[in-house]
Amino acid sequence: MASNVPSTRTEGLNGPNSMYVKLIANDGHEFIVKRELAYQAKTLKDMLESSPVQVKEDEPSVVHLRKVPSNALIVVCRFFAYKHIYDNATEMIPEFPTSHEDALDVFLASDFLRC
Amino acid sequence: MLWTVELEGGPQRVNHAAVAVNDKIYSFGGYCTGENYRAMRNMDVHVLNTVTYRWKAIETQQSRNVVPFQRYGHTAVAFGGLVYVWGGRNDNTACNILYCFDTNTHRWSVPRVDGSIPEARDGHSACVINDRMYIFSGYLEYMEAYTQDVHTLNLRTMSWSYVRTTGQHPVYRDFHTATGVDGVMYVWGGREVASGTYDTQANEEYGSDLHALDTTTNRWSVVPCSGHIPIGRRSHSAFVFRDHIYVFGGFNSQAERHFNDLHRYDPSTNHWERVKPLGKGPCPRRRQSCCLVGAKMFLFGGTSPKDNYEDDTYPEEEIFGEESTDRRLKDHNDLHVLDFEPSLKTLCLLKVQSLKVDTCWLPRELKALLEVMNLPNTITRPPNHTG
Repeated sequence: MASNVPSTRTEGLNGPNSMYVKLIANDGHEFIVKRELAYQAKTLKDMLESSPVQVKEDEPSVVHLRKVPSNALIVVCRFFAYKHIYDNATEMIPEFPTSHEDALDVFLASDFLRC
Repeated sequence: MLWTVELEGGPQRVNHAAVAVNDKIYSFGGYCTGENYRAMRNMDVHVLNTVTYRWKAIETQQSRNVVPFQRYGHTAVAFGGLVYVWGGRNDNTACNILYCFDTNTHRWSVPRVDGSIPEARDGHSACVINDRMYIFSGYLEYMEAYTQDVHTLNLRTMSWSYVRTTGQHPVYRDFHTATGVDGVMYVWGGREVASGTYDTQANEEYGSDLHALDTTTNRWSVVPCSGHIPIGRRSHSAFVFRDHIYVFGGFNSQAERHFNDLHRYDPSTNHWERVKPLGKGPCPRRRQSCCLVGAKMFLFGGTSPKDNYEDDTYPEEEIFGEESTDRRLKDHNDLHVLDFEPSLKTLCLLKVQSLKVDTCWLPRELKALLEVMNLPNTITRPPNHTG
């Protein structure tokens, strides 16, 4: 899966095939994550792959998430890494930590992002 | 990997047969302590909506000559939208008529078959490999003996044939599992009876060898396995997820043990692993069903020793008889879901559920999701219900 990043990915944030993408929460906080990991959320994959205007080679791949606050988006990004590491593990899987206060925000974000 | 949902109130069934077709699971017949298994009555069919976790009984108005009689120890396989139910028995008799249940119309039929039809039996296995249903082993009703034979039904031509095999044949057995991966039928576990006739519980054995029948050469072999090989047992469940064979639960009468462990076998490396999912799984049990839909496994029914197993009033000498063991068993009506790839949404659902936070302002669809994860089913019938 995401362990073998296709060699066609270009370093950095720029272009439609960049290694990294930038996710911006509704309060302006920015999160830079690997494109392969972000694609685990079907909504992000759709937004990044089928945007009506393709990102130019010298422009960064950015997604503005106007419905997602940063306290939820940071948990979403941690989940991408957790899923990537533990989906194929058979034991010693740690529980994914979600805090009490953020539970409902993360729930709504996961529903919107489809992850 | 996480056990996510646990709901009571489904069909209370033991030694039933179930298959997944698209996102529905169909469960056919099975045993329930206290019900009448001498009378010839129509086999019951229950369907599970795997999105809402709701069970429903499917009523049939069809006549007895196309509907199988209620039974246990039979098998069911799915082929397209059709389910083929074969073998099994009630308290009077076993059966070798092939029945077909159409999941689109919910109607039964008895397809015309030809060729060499296998004898009536129960405790056999069935799996589909390359458009053929393979039947292996089991206990023959009329011979009062076990068989080691392999039969196939070509599901395109509806023709049965006896398979002449070579190589190292597995010994006589029942309540094993057979699983098809890449043209190979993997047989594991079951109650092995080397003599082929059942005398006492003392002559049954529980090997943990994995047997493979290559269906292109029809040659049997014992697979040299490494890793954490599960202890031999019968009435366990096996299912395939991403080219691995998973084995859950079962019973070993020599060890007097029921299991709720999960192992997986990788046919590409011949390696076994113990798998330890997070969350609260089912209690130790046997004779349950496990069906895979997407990346979720749905486990339901089966039977376990009663809690008061140690201190109940049955005399000591009865403990080792199969009949008396059965009287000490509790039949389950529960449903458990093992999610191989729990989404963040699922994790949040569980979190919100465990925290009991105020969910009044959540959108209706999300509230509905929370509700179905907690709402028990209500179709379990009281014992002695013979309808």
